[in-house]
Amino acid sequence: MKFYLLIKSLIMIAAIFWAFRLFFIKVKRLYAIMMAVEGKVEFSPFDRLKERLKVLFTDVLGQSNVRRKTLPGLSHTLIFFGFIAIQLHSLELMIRGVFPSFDLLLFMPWIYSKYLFLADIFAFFVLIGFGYAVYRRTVIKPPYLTMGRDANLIILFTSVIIISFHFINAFQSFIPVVVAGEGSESVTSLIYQNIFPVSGILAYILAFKNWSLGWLIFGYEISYYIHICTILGFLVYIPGSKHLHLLAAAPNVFFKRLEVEKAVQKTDIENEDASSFGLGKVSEFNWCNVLNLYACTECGRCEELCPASNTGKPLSPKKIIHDFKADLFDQSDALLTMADLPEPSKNRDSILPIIREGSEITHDVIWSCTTCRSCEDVCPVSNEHLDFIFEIRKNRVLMEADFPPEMQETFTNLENQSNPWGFSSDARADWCRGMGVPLMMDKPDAKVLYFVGCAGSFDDRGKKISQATARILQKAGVDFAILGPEESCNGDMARRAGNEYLAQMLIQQNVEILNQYKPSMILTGCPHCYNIIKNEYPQFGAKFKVLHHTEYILELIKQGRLVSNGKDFGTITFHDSCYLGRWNNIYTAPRDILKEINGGSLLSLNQNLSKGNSQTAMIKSYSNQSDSRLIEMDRSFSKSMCCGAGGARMFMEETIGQRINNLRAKEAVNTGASMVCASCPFCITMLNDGIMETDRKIIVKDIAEIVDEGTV
Amino acid sequence: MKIFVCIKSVPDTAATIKLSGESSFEDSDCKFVINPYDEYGIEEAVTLVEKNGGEVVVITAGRASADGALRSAMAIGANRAIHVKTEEQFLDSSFTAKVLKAAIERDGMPDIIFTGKNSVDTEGFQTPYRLAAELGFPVVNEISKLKINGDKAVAEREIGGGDREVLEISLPAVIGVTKGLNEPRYPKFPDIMKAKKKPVNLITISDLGIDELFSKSRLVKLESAPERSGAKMIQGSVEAQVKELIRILKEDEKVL
Repeated sequence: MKFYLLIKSLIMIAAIFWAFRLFFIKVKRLYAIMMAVEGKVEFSPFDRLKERLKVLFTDVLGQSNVRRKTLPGLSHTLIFFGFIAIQLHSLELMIRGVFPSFDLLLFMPWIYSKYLFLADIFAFFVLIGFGYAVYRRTVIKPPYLTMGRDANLIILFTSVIIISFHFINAFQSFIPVVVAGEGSESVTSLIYQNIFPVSGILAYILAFKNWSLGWLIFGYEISYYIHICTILGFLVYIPGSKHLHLLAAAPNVFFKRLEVEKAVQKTDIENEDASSFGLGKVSEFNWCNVLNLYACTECGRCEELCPASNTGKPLSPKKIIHDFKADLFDQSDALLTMADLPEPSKNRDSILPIIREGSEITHDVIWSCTTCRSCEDVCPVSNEHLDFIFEIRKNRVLMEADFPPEMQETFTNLENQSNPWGFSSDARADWCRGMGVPLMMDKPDAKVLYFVGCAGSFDDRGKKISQATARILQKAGVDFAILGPEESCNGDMARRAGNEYLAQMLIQQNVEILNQYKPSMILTGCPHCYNIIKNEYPQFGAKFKVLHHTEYILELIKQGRLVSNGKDFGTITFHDSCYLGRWNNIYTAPRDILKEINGGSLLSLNQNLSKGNSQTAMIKSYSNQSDSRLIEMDRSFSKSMCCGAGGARMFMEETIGQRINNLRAKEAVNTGASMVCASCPFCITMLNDGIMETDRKIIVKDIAEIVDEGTV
Repeated sequence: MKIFVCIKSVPDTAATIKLSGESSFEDSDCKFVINPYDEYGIEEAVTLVEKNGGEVVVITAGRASADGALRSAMAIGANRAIHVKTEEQFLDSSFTAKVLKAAIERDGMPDIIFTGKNSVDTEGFQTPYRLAAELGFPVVNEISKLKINGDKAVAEREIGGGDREVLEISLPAVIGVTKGLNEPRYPKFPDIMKAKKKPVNLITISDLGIDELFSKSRLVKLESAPERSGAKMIQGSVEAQVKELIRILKEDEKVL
């Protein structure tokens, strides 16, 4: 027996050493790759440590993001805590393999027995969790959950670990442990008996109490080897598999961007030393991008919600992350070699472009994205898919002039006339002819600068919305003015289409004018203007208070400056536009307005507002309200589906698959509402077009038009 | 292969032109671009040179602000530029042709000279012909398909009714081009930056020994086109509508 134990400890030393060594080599390489990439991180991942620690508690320990899908979330939570729970036990077993007399139960019997009791229960919960995971993969089979060899192996690995854990404990319960003395004088006792609730049942079922000690030890040893070898094998397997998320998810969440609002990275296009702009090769990732790739576990929640994936486009946010990761690993040798060399001899040409012959990431993939951000919103590990899309588009446009051909005219129009349609920029104020709307140049101290935007200034439908907004402002006695011909396109479209050069040109034009007038508030009629002026203009030195008209109208209602005339608009369904909702977290303002204007009462509005609850609680309270006049679509609030126009898709042909706007319009029609309300001129156009294709032609209105018609 | 492309810096067609004085306009807010038809010439020249080697030289006779158009042309592949500086936007075509001829001759004779079929500001449709006459070259205009075979070119042009005329001309020649010939490329950003540093040979008219007052025509007056008034909807029975229409044509519009 002593000889066996010696052999066993030698085997264990070798196995543990070997496994940990391989594990560390692999992890070191992953870390080296993260450090080798050369892209810059625009936000500061190391600031506000307190908040970041809090995020670890909510997102990782609290599993808050995973649990947004109830049953899979619960299943993941069980597996997560179960695995954490058995870690100490596994560590003890490894040490005991090397030093056979090591036993924590002897050192601290009271606390360790309590721990083992709990660990035994938690481990069993893992099996319940797996039970659901297997059921989901074999019976429910959601299409976004692809089943690879990787996933099956991992379920197998981990199940073996848990089952052998229970067997070890079951055998252990009936194997006496030396509690005192040495050699023949030693005293032994069944100290593990009655500790394990679940394993105890297993021992009872298999009637271990009738087994001979020899067989029990044999069974224990077999379970032990299976358990430890699987754990060590798993350890070696993790860093190369999609279950790298076990290691990367927590740091990824810790270093994430803390705000919902974000900006497209500002590229220093004046840097004459730069050999490339945007993301063309894996070496141009930043380390946060790489951590994103490591953290992805291919759960497919992004794909489930992606408007491109849902309408037959070749883009899947899950797959693009997977493909980036595959390319990163394929080229990691070249990348690491390049990183080791000093600057003049760095051979960046040895790394192949991401988009190349035979590459999975194609032109159609990167241009299918509407930048609606539902993938990012739903991602349980807080990945930022759009950072990849924006940067890769930037690279294609700036370096290769490669973009959907129909965008060329749009770019030229933006460049020459500061609007995507190419109308004369002098005609920017024509929409308000005869309305008495002053220009900033005539009224430079106006309190509110109404930034009308291109759609509001030139598009026939958009003009009606800005006219409605102007009338509302006049009714409420707001001191406002517009820029008129001094206004340029906000730059959103050019920027999201990757034309950073053009975007910066347009942004600079606006920034100069805005800084000249220094308005105390900027009001926008379009979520795209709102988002970029609020969140991206500060990159260019223009920081202003910006409100979207939904927010401002609500404020005017609350101040009593706008009063409902009691007009009945029938039942309304509200379409959340991406750049107001997911990009800026504005969900309640438009709904509050609709309740107030469409025959609601100020009382109900005030009740809602006075609750002062968190955003999540607010959203819940809206979703649960059985207000029959405001009907929610199947997908609303943060799950709202894009109209298809974002990310400059408004100006690209949609030739692959089903049209996104048709799908969304159908959803609006299916609510049975008599009107669909939106708060973005592009959403309005898309929904209007989509509704033409349905059999029930419901009315599409901007919230400003409803307020204009529904107030005194 | 040495190819010249004659271009003109013109107000963007979408721009609103505000007149000032009798025969000039305010151009401070007005966006100037390469004459759209000239872009087909640049693209064709750049493609030919990419394929066969050689050099593309863009040339313009225009005001100082025309530099922007030359830079844009170089951003999409022209190698260098010649800028003959003038004081006026609106030049007489015979004058432009003389200037271009002198500048081209000074630089060295080309294999092909491309021009747009016309410029969108003055719409003269004269320059390609007059330039060819000055140089003694053959000329074709409104070309929408082109093939170069050694010292000959086969060019196609629409002649209306869906018919196409195929012409064979010997090089060197002046070839006026139009939409359909190719799709002008969008510049890559590094090329835009490089174009800022490409050489522009700035010369004056007196350098070329041409009398600045030489001109066969003179711009007398510029007038804004009258703004189109909205459509009128005539209501009522058919009979009433017809009556009203005749009344309008007779009394309001005075065309009957």
